[in-house]
Amino acid sequence: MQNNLNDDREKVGNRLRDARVMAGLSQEQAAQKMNLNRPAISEIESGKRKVSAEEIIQFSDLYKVDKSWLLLEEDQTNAEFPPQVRFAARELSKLKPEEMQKVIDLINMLPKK
Amino acid sequence: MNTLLVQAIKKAGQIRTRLKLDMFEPVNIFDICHSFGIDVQFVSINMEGMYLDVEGMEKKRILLSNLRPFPRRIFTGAHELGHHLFGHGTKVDGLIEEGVTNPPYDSDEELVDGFAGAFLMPVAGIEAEFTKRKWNMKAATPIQFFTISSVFGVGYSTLVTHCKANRLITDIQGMTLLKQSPAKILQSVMGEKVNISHFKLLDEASSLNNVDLEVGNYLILPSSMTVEGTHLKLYKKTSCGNAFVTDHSGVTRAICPLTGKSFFIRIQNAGYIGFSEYRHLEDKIKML
Repeated sequence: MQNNLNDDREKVGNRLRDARVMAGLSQEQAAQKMNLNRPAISEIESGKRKVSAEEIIQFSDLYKVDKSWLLLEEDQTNAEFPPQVRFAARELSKLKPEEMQKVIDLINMLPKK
Repeated sequence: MNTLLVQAIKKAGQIRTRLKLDMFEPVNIFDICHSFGIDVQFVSINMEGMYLDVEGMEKKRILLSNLRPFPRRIFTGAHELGHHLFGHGTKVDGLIEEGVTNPPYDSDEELVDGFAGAFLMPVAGIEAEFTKRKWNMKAATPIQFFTISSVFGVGYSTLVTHCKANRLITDIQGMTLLKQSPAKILQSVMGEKVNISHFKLLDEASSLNNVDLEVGNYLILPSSMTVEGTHLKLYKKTSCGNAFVTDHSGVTRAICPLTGKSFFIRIQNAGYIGFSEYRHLEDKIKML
């Protein structure tokens, strides 16, 4: 049970790190915008520190990613064509498969209404 | 005139009016997208760009490839904004290989290319920039065209092609100008072989609010202007002015102490990945 919680915390941390990098922010910059210190961001991203619900909301606003994606609630990263992008398949087919996958991964991160 | 082009020019004019911009002034396309509530994100994906209008999504998003040259990202940004304004839905603009002049276009692509050109480089604005310098466009040199391309923040070839398409210059003049590449122009301005990088050339008549560059780019400014901070290093004095090289990301200011004229120089990291609004954050903080 404890191991599962630690695994999830690490996965959430990995997603927060990926989202921060994709947003173009350093740990220092993210910390400043979140009113945290830099080590706190580092600990969160390595899964050593728990993230509160309020912080998840703030992170999702700052990094412009979906809260559910951060919390592993909509894990569709293995789906070849998640529902949101099915309609865009004709357009995406202009890309090479590896580039198409990058776009699909990104679409999975997008904040939903 | 091609009806698609007319439609594109009309839309560009309407958008300028809506944003209270006149028909002469240069625009920063990323700031414009921001004002439309569209997120612009630079990504490391091998394509030109993409407009994402996904069902259920909170905001529209434009993706631009950081693998494409800096001025090309500007034009692609305007192209993708065109897809948004014409309500085209998600559009992916695949990689256009260098040297391919006639990619297979559909009417949507032609329309938004026309919009991008008219919005970024209004004909009235181009003519005004040449006139205020007392330069004859029909006999203008590559350096003069390059200066005007710097004012509008677009690529040199993009401006020349646009002028040719709008009959501001003849096909022969256009072809002659296109024989000069920005790299050759840079070398002639510098008077020596230098590391090839994107550069902007501004003169006393250039009137701008912001100049966007990447780390490692050159900026040539009139010798009457001074630069604040440490973001730019003087590279050498040239016949066109002082050549600076950008050192690190952030925002600084160039000012002419005599006239008080100034503008901001906004520098992003080379190959920056991230949202447009974070692109000029200080490098020193970033490196900690």
